[in-house]
Amino acid sequence: MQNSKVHYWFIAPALLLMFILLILPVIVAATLSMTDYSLGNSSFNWVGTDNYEKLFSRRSYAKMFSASLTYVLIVVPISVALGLGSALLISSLRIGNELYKAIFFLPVMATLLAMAIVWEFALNPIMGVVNDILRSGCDKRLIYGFFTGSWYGADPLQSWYGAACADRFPIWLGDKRYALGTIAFIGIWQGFGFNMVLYLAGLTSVPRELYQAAHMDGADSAWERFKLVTWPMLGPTHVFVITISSIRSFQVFDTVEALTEGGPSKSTYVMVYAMFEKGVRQNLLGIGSAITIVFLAFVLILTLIQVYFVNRRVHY
Amino acid sequence: MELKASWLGEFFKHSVLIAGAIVVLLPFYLMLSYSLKSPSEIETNTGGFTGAQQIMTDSRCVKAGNAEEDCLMRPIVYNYTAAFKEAPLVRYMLNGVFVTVSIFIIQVIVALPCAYALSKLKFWGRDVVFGLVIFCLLIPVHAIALPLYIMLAKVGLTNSYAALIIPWTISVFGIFLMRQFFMTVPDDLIDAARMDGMSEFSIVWQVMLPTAIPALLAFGIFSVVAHWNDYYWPRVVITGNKDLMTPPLGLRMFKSDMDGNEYGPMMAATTVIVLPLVIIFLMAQRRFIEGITMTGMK
Amino acid sequence: MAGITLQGVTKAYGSQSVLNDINLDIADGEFLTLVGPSGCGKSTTLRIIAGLETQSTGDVFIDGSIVNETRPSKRDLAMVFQSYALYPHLTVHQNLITPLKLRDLTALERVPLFGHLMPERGKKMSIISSEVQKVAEILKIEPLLDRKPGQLSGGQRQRVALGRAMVRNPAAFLMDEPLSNLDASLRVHMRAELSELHRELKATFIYVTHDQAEALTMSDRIAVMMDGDLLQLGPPDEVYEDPTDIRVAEFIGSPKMNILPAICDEKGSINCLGQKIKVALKDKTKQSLSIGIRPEHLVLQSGAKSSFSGLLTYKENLGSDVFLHLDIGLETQKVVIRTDPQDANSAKIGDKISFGASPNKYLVFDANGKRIDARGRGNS
Repeated sequence: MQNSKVHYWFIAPALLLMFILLILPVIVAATLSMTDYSLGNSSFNWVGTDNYEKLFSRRSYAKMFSASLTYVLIVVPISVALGLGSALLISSLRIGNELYKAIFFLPVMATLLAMAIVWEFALNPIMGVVNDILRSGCDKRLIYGFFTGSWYGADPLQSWYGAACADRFPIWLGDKRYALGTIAFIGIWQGFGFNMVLYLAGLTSVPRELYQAAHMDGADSAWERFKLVTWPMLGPTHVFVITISSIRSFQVFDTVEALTEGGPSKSTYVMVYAMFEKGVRQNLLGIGSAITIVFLAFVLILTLIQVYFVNRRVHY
Repeated sequence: MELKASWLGEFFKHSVLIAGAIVVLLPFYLMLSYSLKSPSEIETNTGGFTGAQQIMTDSRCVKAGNAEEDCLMRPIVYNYTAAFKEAPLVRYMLNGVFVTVSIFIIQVIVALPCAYALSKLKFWGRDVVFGLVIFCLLIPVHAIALPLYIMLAKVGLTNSYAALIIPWTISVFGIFLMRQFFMTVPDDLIDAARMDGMSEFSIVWQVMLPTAIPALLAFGIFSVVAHWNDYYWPRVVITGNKDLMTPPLGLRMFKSDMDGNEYGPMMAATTVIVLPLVIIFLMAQRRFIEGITMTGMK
Repeated sequence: MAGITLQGVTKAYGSQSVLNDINLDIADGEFLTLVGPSGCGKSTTLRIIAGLETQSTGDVFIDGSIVNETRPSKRDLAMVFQSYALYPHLTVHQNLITPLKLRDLTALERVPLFGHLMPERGKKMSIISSEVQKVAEILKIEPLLDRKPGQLSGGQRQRVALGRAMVRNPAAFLMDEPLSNLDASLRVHMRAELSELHRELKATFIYVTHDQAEALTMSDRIAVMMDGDLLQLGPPDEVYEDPTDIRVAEFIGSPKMNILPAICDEKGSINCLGQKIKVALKDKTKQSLSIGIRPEHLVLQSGAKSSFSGLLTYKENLGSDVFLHLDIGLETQKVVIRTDPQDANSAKIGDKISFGASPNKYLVFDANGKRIDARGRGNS
């Protein structure tokens, strides 16, 4: 009732934990990012913005930012497009949609670290299935001709496939040209099913009458109706899916730690892994904290962009 | 004409989806298949899905001084027994269950009363508290793992169950979700409970909790899946002590301890760890997908 | 069974006042209805009686003793809510039992499993069960006892909600728009049942509604509230025939009372729409007035000199009655006449219709909407 004090007991535990476990750590990270603190040391020095200057000047950190950004820029568009594509296909099916939904959602549920290890086996350059399958195409003229372009008169050795057949197939995770792409592939494999269910949910909220109205208005082809109804009505879902995927892929860690440990030559040195390596492994808490703060800033910006778009969408 | 075209379209859609399904299922197929096969079959990629299941000798068993005929077994038996012998898999699984269940229970105990107060009680400062909850939603716990780790290390709690559980005891997302749900519960119901003589405390646990079961289930699925699969946080706070490891971390240890070509046992262990969630998922597919999308905002 | 008294009760949220000085004396066994448009403060009054909200000032007495500080469950009242407020996770039987368990069992006896070991529990539970059984019989909900609220129809839920209140055998029943979620025919049916139930139980009923028809049909007395004020309190007939405030006059009765503007000059003669009205005022000062006439008191008059007239714009045929809507040349006010179908037969849309009323049916209100004592002279 009005004058009872019972609400204090209800919110106090949550407030206390929220402060200790969420707000205080941000303050701690912000403070430590200005020091050269290490666990076990009894004292530390204030170094001002040194850590941040290092972060934005040294080459290894440039590689970190570039790895994280590249990863996000590969994973987000592809997993969003695959999510939307599979959602559209599945929702238009007459039979079997539940089955495909379950299959594509499976990787979202499965323990990523475990599945990463399986992918590592599959991608093993010598006994892995992936290269086995690729290799088996080299002596089949149909496949070889199609993928190397020799069908249409190009030099097969100029193509990626032809060159690989002649020499050897990539060692994927062990090659700095392929490692990040391979990690990104696993990220896409794992994440697009999640986007798919979000899009499926978005699609069911599009009123059927709108499609009928589009028919009446003369939007005869499926593509016309997609442009006129589906795409704009999915507006809020797009914003949502894109920011969620971005934040999730910014946090990539499991695959990197288990498969490449940031290498080869820092090509997969993503931010969360860097945070872990500097802060936890090497006990360089100052620089680790600085990465934490920059990372938080990235996530905050992404969320603010989302909020901005969602708010704008509401009034369209 | 119409009919023919639509069947063609249907056929085309199914072909695309089946191709996708093959890629998606490939690692699951390999995982199961490898966990059944002998080392040589794995190396040469022969034997189809199950392998020939020819009797093989367990080399380690022989090295341990047993007679050779005692060490003969089928690959499937070898892989799974080796998995359980090489790594304390049962222990990992029990740790996983203990940690995820504890996290969920504490999250509910903390979040439910708070969500009730934020949605149904009028008090000074309520909007401020709710604003704080929204603000905290912006902070991904993975991002602040390092300072949390430092704080836990300072109080000497790393390498403990507490370290695995404490950072997750507060789920602002859970508070937010439950508050949104409670907003839809009619005020009349709470007034009726008060007229019936319930205390505010009983209202939370005897009225709000049962009515919130659907939302709690969704949140529970979200929370358990996230923490069963979480690798990052256990990796940060647990160093070396196998007794405390959760399934993903244990599997990672298995991988780095592995000598030579123990792919079979390794994949058997992977299967054991991945399978429980996958089976539960397949049994309650709809609930899972609903739960994860409903809570997908995080 | 008990009488309930409100003395000088006010309620304000911050600077916004929602109840102004409510004084109410409800007799033991009375059926009192609080009626008014939404936001008039009727629900707040009920919730203050229940103890779900605390009044800003003033006192609430139940059975002669002050209960300002008493918790809702200790006031010996039961409440029926608009949304029924049944526990969705409990069966009907469990819903009915809950208030009794909470009242009669000790905390120890309510502990799951362990509670069963307490010596007194069995005896108490059998008393509770027979109580529930009795109520279920009265309300004819025995076949529903094992179902959950979600499996019941609106009318069934309504009965269970009543039952939940009845099992406690309370001093008074508080009802907050209990029928407004039912469809129209069921609502009419439930009115009769509630009245019957009231006669049977002989308990005090305090009933809140925005529907004046409900208020008129069921109550011993009705209290009309508006803007946080209690405007009039009295038996339904009295409130209908003799409203003390123009707002009451307009709110009670359907179709609404016709309100016509009028002017009174220094000599006390009243002019309404160009007609002189034969009503005598005690206070003969120049003032503007409003004249209220109920639709059923207006009669059609062909061509009489001293009658009003207007153009027929709409005929609303209800079968037993016809409502004629007339445009009398005022922007905001139309006149509605309630008449027999035969009498209305000849009238066509667009016709000029003459009408009048016997002067003793005129209700006169002053510029502030207060009723003025006035006497009509003779017929027409």
